[in-house]
Amino acid sequence: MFPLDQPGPTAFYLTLYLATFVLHLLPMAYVVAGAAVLLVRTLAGARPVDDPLAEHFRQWLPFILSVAITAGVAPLLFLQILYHREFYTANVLLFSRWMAILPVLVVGFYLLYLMKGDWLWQRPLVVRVTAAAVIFASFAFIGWSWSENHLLSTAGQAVWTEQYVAGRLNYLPGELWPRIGIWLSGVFPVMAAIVTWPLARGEDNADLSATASRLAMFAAIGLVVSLACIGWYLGVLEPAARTAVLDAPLRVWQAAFVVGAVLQFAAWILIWRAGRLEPLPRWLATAGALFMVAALAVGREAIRTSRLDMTALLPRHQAAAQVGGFWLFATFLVINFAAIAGCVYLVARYARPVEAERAMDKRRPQR
Amino acid sequence: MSDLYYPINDFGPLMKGLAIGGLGIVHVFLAQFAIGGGMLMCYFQWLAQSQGNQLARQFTDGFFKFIVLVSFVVGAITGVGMWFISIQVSPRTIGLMVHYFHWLWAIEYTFFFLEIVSGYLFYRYGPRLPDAARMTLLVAYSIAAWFSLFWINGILSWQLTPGRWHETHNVWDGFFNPSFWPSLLFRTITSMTIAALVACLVANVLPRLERRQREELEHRAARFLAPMVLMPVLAVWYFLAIPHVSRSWVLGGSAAMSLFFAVGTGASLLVGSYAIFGLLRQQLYINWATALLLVSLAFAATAGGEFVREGVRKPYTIRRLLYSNSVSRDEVARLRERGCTTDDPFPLQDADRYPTPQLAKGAHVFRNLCSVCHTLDGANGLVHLTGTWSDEQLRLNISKLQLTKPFMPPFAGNAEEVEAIVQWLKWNANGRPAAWDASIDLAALASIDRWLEEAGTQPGLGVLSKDGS
Repeated sequence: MFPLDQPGPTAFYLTLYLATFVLHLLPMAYVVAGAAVLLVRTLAGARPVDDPLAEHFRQWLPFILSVAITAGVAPLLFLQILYHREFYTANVLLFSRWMAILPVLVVGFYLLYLMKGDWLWQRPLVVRVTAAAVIFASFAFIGWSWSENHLLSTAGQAVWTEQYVAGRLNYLPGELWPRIGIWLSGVFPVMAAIVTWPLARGEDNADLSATASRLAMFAAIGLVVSLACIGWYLGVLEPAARTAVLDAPLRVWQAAFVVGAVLQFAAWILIWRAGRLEPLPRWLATAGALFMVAALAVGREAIRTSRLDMTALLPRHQAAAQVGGFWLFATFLVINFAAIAGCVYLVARYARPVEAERAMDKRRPQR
Repeated sequence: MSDLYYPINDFGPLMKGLAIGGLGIVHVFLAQFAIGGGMLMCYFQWLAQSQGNQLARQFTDGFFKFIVLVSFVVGAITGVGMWFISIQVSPRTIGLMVHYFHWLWAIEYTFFFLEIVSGYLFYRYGPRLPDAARMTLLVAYSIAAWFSLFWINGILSWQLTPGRWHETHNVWDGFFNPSFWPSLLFRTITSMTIAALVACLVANVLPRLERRQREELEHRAARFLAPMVLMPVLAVWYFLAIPHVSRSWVLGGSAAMSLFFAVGTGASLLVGSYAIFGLLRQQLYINWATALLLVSLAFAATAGGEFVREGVRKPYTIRRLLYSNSVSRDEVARLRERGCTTDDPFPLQDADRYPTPQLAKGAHVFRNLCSVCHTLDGANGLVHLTGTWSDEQLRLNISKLQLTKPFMPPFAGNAEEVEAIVQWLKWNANGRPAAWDASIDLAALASIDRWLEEAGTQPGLGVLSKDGS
């Protein structure tokens, strides 16, 4: 089963890369789709106080973006161990076009904080919509840039040389479009599955049935479009890459993909019909999204490995595997994630409701 | 395919070192602010809960929002940016650092997670939490932030002082290298200093505070400036730990590095003097303008210090392993035979603008060996640096580059390539005329060959350790 069918060190780093990449994809999907929903709801004239979905994203997008960026550090690290020359070459070739993701990210990030405050919501609709549109455009641009970078990294020396001599700062092969289609539509069901959990806590809210229906609509449309784009992508892939995706070593992942899609459709039909975010469909949607994201990440990697000479990369993976520090990493992973759980527990256990805090503020002596 | 060759971009009149240095200075300043800020918030929270100081509590919440808005956003993104710009400037350097220390970077990643989760929970729920829970979150945040410094400090200081790592290749020998502790302690105090100065600024801009409240906050925060008295001792310790040749660059061997060292030291002295005599002894009140000036001086000190830290590694990016132009020590001898342009799969982007193939080769040599630190005629421009040299001097000085200037690496190409870059420099110095005769001076090539031979392939005078390694 891929990636365990690779030689030991390669399989080890591939597994770590894929695991951490999936952990990055979840908050990333939440941010991109959340920004899209925020844009759509702002465009519809919704104000956060009247709209649980818009309010949720307004409050949580800045933090989840921080999580997405931080979660991106680990896969970025393992990516450099696995494919350092390919990744670095693509980075350098795309140069300023690639580096532009940094200021764009800063702009998107600060606009999210602006959205979080009250100032923006007191401005005219056109200002609010512009801010929401720039936020979404920022994240879409970053995703697009990553897709180009990824594809260029697998293109090989002949393409790199040609790209360099031409001085081109973009790379637009035919397969870029279905890939972006998969990404941009696939983020919606993942976001919807994640957001059901915090929203369900406010189930007494009168608007929640409308919110549940909206979420179901976003998720279902996202699923259908992403499936169509996957079909389109398989159609444009070169035979070797297509075989790599559809071949026996990926059977388990193909099954996970199908099960994931079925679970999600079932979950969203249940939610749409009930108009409520019941626990069972929430679990189904979450498990389905997780299966599908993992399967897609593995498929993406199988395509990459089919294009590269993995045998030539093996000595470097072997050398990296000899470097010390893994067990200390594993220890700190446990300690720090336990500490994170402890922090979350503290807040869940001791945070006073907002109303109680206001009452206390009135009683405090002013210095 | 060897990983010697990557595509190389032209940054125009901007020296690549300025690009990476500029972003690096901003990132280091913000990151150190976040680290010191966490410690300072723990102190203020302790004041709030042990002395019932509501002002300290109120300030903690206000200041922490500032930390989150500045450091979580720009700090985090410039951190990722450092990675990307390092790839742009020297993929081999960052590749080696990741290769040898990836697990330590992975450990740092776990601390990043703790930092952002504890920080954000405090930012969002802090005002609604009891004191003990607030303190726990702040301590978790501070520990995580400081440990991110701990891990990256080991990797960065390894670049200059790999210590026993070259013999053992043990990750811990590289990590706990000779400059690890002085660098870590110095940076910790710098973090506390920056946080205290920014706190003085924030105390001035927070709304609804009276003058005496601002004064109280400033004087509390100023206590974090007291450890600055240890900075001279730590600086001396650091300078004793780095290679003697690196010390010599700072102490007059390189005008630019001496200048930046002076800027960093001068700015630190000004901040330190004002902190000790003005804020701590005289208990002066500083308004926002003075606070801003002190923060700017701290930024200048950080900039000077970071420039020196980057600069003293010359001629290496990783001492005794990789030269600043990304050629490893082992590869120089082979490139003297093969030439540095022969096997490069990335041809010149503008080869047809040169009147002769020799000039195109010269441009190619410049791109591969020089462009990481030099521009043609912008910052650190070669045309200006070599403008007064005769043809013979150009040939001799480039052939014996590491002897001409010991902070330069040995020339990693063959005699034809030396002659090509000499011609290319002359062509540029003469205004890039449309016609230019190719140099086919066999006697000059023979001289270059002899000079290359005499210079050898090892680094320059004083750069070698006493044992010759």
